[in-house]
Amino acid sequence: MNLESIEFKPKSNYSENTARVSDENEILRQGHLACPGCGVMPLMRLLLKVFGHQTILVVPACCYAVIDGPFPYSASGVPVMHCAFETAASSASGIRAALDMRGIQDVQVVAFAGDGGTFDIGLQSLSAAAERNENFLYICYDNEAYMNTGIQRSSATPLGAWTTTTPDETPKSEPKKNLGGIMAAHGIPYFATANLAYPDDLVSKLEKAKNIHGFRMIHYFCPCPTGWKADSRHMVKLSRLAVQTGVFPLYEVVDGKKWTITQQPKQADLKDYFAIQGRFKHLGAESTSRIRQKVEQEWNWLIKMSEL
Amino acid sequence: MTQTATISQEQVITGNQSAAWGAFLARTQVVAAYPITPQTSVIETLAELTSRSPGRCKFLNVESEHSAMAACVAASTAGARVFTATSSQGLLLMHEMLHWAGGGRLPVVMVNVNRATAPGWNIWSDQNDSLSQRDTGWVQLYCESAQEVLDTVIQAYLLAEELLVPTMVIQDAFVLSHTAESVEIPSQELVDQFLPEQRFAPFSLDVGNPSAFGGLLGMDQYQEVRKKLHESLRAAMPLSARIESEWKALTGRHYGMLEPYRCEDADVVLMTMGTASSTSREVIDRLRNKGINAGRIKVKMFRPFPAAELRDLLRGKSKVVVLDRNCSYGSDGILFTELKSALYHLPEKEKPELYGFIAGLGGRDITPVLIHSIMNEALQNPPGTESVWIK
Amino acid sequence: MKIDSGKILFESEDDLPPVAMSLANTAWNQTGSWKYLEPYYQDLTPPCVAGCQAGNDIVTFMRLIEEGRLEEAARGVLQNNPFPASLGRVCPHPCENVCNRKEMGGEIAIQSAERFLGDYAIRQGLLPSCAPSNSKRVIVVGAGPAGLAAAYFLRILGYDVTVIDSEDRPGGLLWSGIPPYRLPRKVLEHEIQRFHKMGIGFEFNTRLGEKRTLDELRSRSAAVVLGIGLGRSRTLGVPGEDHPQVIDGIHLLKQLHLGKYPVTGGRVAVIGGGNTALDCARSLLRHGHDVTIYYRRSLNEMPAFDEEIKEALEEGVKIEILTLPTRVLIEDGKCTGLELIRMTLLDKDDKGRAIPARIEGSEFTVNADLVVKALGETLANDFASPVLSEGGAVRTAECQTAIPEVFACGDCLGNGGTVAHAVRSGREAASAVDAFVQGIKFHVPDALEQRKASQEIAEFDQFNRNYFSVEYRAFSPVIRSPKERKADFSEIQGSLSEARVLQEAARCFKCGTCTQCDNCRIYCPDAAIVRQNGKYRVLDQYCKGCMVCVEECPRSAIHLRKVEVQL
Repeated sequence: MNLESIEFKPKSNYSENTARVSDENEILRQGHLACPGCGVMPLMRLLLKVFGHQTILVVPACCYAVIDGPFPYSASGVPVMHCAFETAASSASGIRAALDMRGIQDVQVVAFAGDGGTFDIGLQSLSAAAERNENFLYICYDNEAYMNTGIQRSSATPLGAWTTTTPDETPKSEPKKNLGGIMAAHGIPYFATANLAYPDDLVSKLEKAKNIHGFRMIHYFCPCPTGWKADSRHMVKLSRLAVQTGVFPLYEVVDGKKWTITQQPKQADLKDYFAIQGRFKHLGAESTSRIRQKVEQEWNWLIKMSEL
Repeated sequence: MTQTATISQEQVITGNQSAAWGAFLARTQVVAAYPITPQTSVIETLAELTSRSPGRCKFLNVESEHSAMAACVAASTAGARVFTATSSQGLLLMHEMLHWAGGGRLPVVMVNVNRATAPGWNIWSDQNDSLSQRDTGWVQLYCESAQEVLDTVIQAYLLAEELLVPTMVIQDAFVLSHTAESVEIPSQELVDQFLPEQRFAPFSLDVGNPSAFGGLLGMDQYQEVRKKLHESLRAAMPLSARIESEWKALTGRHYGMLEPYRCEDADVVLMTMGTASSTSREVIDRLRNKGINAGRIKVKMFRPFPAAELRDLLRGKSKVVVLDRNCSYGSDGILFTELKSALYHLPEKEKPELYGFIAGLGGRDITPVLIHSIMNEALQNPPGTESVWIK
Repeated sequence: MKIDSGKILFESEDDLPPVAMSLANTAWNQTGSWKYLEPYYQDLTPPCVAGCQAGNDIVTFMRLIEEGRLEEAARGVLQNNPFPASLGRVCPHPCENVCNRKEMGGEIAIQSAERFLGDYAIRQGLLPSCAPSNSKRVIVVGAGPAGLAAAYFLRILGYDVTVIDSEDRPGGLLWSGIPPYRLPRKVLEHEIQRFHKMGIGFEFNTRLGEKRTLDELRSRSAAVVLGIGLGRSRTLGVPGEDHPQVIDGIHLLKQLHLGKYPVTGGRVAVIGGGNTALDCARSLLRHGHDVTIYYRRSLNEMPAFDEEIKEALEEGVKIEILTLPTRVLIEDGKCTGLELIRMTLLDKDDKGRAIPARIEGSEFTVNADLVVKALGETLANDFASPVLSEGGAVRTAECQTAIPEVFACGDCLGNGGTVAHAVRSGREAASAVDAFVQGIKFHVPDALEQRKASQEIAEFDQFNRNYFSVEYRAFSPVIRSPKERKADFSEIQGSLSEARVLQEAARCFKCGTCTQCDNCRIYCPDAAIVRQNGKYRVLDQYCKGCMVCVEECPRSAIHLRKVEVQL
């Protein structure tokens, strides 16, 4: 018996569904310009596998706009509309209208924007598209600062973080804007947070989002080793700790009313999460405990929402 | 309001209503718009027309003009025929996206109602709003009558879609936008004959042939790609001649990108844009009656700037008088400035004397008396190097 | 416009599209040049495999079991191991002692799995697959575990094998030494049957040197393999040792197993701390004796298997540590007991064992009707020729003795002592014979060479524990209480059910072995890991060296190395 030639079935860590999805042909091409360890790319790979070729991406100014490749190349493998910074949601609305008018119903529109283009400059058009219940999926990949322009602070930057515009002496003094609360208040059909370290959860949310008509949104936690001054190899560890410490809760909101927590955090300490990121290394015990309090407050709020 | 008919019909409608009819007859598929005085009746009329023809057009009531143009740009990239309208503050808010439509080579058609810009709030007519967008790569066509607005909106689609350049059709606030006149509304059949179904490939979002549009364009190619926009714009003048003759064959109406009035033997020629062109016809006639060889050129196509054509028309004239209802602050009246640079290339002895006048900002009425006075001013005095501000 | 390996070259302005749009994809951009460390897949040796004296590929068998491919697993085991059902009962399982799972719920019950597969192979009548006969004969001297193992592997390689033994049946210490409560006779019989079915020939009651000589055997074969064991018990070296009630442990066990029960009764003193001592003690206990073991070092140093010691104590065997006999007490021609001296432990010797030293003046006496010596063995006198042996063991180089065509394996080499070692030794001897006969270089592939695993051991601190949760081990049901056990020689430990064995196989980490868990492939930001022909492959030309794959590998199957710079 030749032990080398024995074949075994792959024993995926993940659900059959996730394994099946990840087995789909790769639509994204290699050779793109993401930093090593960029948290956005595994999301894009899975997104395209779930949605397939019948997808149009709308990409405002953000890292992905550069990652996709310069003229005359594109890595995405599906049509992409690069749009102005604040127009992800309005552009996606326009494309959807055009497709509907042309009778093209089997193509999905997916807006793919960073936190800057969602929480800040893009918030107006996002709110309007949500209010009109425009029929597309909006994905915000949140690396918690304006990374593409060199790590400046956004309203998604977490409390206490260093950025180039909130340096160590004056780190971010406001907590992260509560995007989930805002979008839930719009009563959109589906909002979910998602995280790379939980692929089953992520894939099932992408699939859910794919099959809903109307405005859907996924807020994705996007580790950025470059901007967070972390080791690229910790891309997944950062994601995992963010959920385990409670910093980035995983939940869904349906129709703005039904809140469901989809992952309970384990007891991981904030210190372990901060320890692997240079952007938090200036934090002392007092700041850490204030941040811990804030995390707990937000969790308590989320739990109350889920009990409604 | 009546439905479209198989034959043309006469209606007494305003400039704004005419604009809406033009867009509707052109079978625009997506409208994304935001209200602003004095544009509102354009989109109200259009909403009414489209709601009576379900499935004909998708109306996006967006939350700002910036989003309106963003949605139009995107819908156009996805292969739909689009339309929007705005004015003043709204147009300014759209500025970033106007560049996007131009650089993106998208055949967006928009009606802009010329309104003064704030601060302070002023809802009446002047041309600073549209003229300050002159660098964005759009064709700009200034109309003087409601009929012209309707006809021009329809023609604009043909022009835009052939050149792949966005086109702005412009009318004065209230004086034109809200003034009713007798307008012949062409039949749908006629318009369908004139305007084919939109041709948009190969530059549209197509899952069968995927491309990324608008990504990073580096220093090695940016200039050459933009040069193509410039060259396409330059082609708008000859193309418009063809378009207008086709329209004339169907409707009997013709405007011209430059409309000379009694210019052939004129010594002094007035230059106007917008409704001042109508008013000035009367003044030219009066001056002629007094024995003065006066003429007037209405500039319809401001972008691309018809420099060569203007040189031909004005070669050898003694005086040219420019009436600007605008000012590029820190420089001068805009038509004045552009004309001056066009005339620079005439040989010295053929170069007319050039007079500039700024009037009517903030919607102050441009009356025959005012026009008469600036003509007299030009006839009696030597020209300065700058425009004179007239009350 | 020209396209050169995916890159677009615009030759004139007319080539340019009028808008910024893509015309091709980015595949030409070999971002692999960004990295200075690159990942590579390399299965490592799991600690269990490194620890296995028999050299079984434990992880592969676990993976087969997990997939329910029991027959394949059993066949795989048989190809590498003639006695899975026996070893699944008697082996001290060093594999389990180093199992990484012990950190998260307890080591995998590897021995129980082996036992399960061994029993399965017996039930299904499985045989290893053997090469067709090459008509070359090899004679194996000694039908103990090592000789049998050598015969087994030689047969697999295609040799015609005859095993000769001085006893009237095969098995050696498997039947004459190891008691039935550890290795039931039926199980052993079935495993021995396999040898017959494989066409291995036997000649019993044939002692080397009497009926046959080494020279004679050499003349009738392509090679001879000596699996002769040691055979000469060590002595106490104390007065009274030659009394008839002072008997050799190995001899005692054989008599017991033959059903000849020579012992008359009463109290028994067993001298020694190895498995033989324990086997004697527990066997005599079952015959109703009051048994005490006397050992010169402490419990920690007793070479017997820990489980043996534990079970013996449960059953009521007494152990007196740090004691050494000085004299056998004889009264009226009867053995009445022993005089012993107390010992203390000094620093460790070069083998790491503590040196015992007498405490002067601490002698004391104990009563005993029978004294059993189980002090270990050296090579029997018959084979203590200067050519063959040295220092009480057969001398070999790569299994070959100084006499051409003569090879040796097992306990007679002096460093054995377990059935597992005998299996490995027999396999090596078979390879050595084969190399000799074929005139090729001797090479014994290590357990994982066939599937190209490296010899580096997969350490638990390199694993990513986030992908494992604590799951508790399924212990083999101990089916009998100590009281029940003492009553007879029936088997003490039961088997695990198929369901529990499958559970254990699933619980196994598969240390150092890529199981296609998909972490690397899903997480790679550059889609630089693909699955091809059932294996993962890194696309070096795209991999940017972010190291996420290595960080997230649960079981250390992917590693980093410096990129070789091509100048």
